[in-house]
Amino acid sequence: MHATATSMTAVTDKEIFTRLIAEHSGIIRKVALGYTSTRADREDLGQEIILQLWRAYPRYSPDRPFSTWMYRIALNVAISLLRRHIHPVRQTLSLEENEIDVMDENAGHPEPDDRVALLQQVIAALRPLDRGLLLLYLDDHSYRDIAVILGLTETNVATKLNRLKQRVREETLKLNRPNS
Amino acid sequence: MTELDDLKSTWQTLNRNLERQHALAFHQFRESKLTRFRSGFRLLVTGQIIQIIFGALLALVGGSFWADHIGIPHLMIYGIALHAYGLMSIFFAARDLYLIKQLDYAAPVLALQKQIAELRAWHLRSALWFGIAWCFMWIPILLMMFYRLGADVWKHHPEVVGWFVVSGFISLGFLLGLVAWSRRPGQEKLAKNLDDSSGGRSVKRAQTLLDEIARFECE
Repeated sequence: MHATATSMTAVTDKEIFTRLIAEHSGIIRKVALGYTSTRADREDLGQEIILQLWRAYPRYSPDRPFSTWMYRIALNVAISLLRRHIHPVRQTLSLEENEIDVMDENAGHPEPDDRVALLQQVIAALRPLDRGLLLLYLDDHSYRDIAVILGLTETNVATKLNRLKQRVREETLKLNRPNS
Repeated sequence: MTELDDLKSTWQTLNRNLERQHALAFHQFRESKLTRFRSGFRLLVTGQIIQIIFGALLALVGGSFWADHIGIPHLMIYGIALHAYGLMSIFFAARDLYLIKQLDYAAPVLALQKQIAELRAWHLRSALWFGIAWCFMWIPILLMMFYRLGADVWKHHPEVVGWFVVSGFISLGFLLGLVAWSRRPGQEKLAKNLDDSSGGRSVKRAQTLLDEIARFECE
């Protein structure tokens, strides 16, 4: 009887977990996109993130936002894997390898190639922790959220983002220079 | 001029396209996969479990040896040295396992990355100390083996034991000298080979990671 009850709880937990993952799968996708260069690596990273999420799930407290908790785990797994397994030359984000069509059918117009190239360049040039910061910013998180996820102060986040903005301006200038 | 904010739309577009082009089956994982332990630390965990078994065997052999020879100082020294080394192996491995168990992937990114870097640096440094200890540990093991074969080298040929100890110091000196010499300008290749073989390179990598985290915190 007790075993049946335990088993039912486990099934319920798994169902809740699966639903939550499905609802927030964008987080895994975005982190994988920011930290890998090929589809195979992206899928491996996605699986690794889900495994860690499942292992950590028993300690998850519903008092905390699920997305914040999920982002922390996803970034921690991605950064650790990037440092451990992925060869440095593969740490760059290649959209050709990613096989992602940059044409946005929903928007009805293509993203300009130079914009895509710039994003590619900026992400590839960043260290793993800075990459996490950029992904959170691009995903429209507040400074407070970013600070909680990364374990920084809001002031520190603001300072770093200002530097990042400056860097993007510089990269834009570099990209535009050969044409001018 | 493109601003960081302008890249948000590019990022969202890429994300949408990725979702549409090959909706990754993230939620279609199987039960078997959930129970699979694929942490990057599994090799380290396996290594530590082997070290604990190895340490327990050494402690058992060393402990029973000195307990069987109470009152015979040199035989007790062999046994106690081996016993102590076994316990040290168990302690270091157990500490590693404890630290791995403490890793919480739901912790803030900076906190966990720091924990991982510290764990790696500590683990690799302790491996180096074990290597240094082996410069001497072979002596009591060899003497115990001789004794088991019926030859009490310490009692009948103390000068041989003296030479063993001198050899231990020479090995240690040679090792430390080689490390120091490899740090001189022009010896980069030797330094790299030494680092690769001793794990020193990994220690440096772990240290670099800690420095990087510290810089990220302070910048």
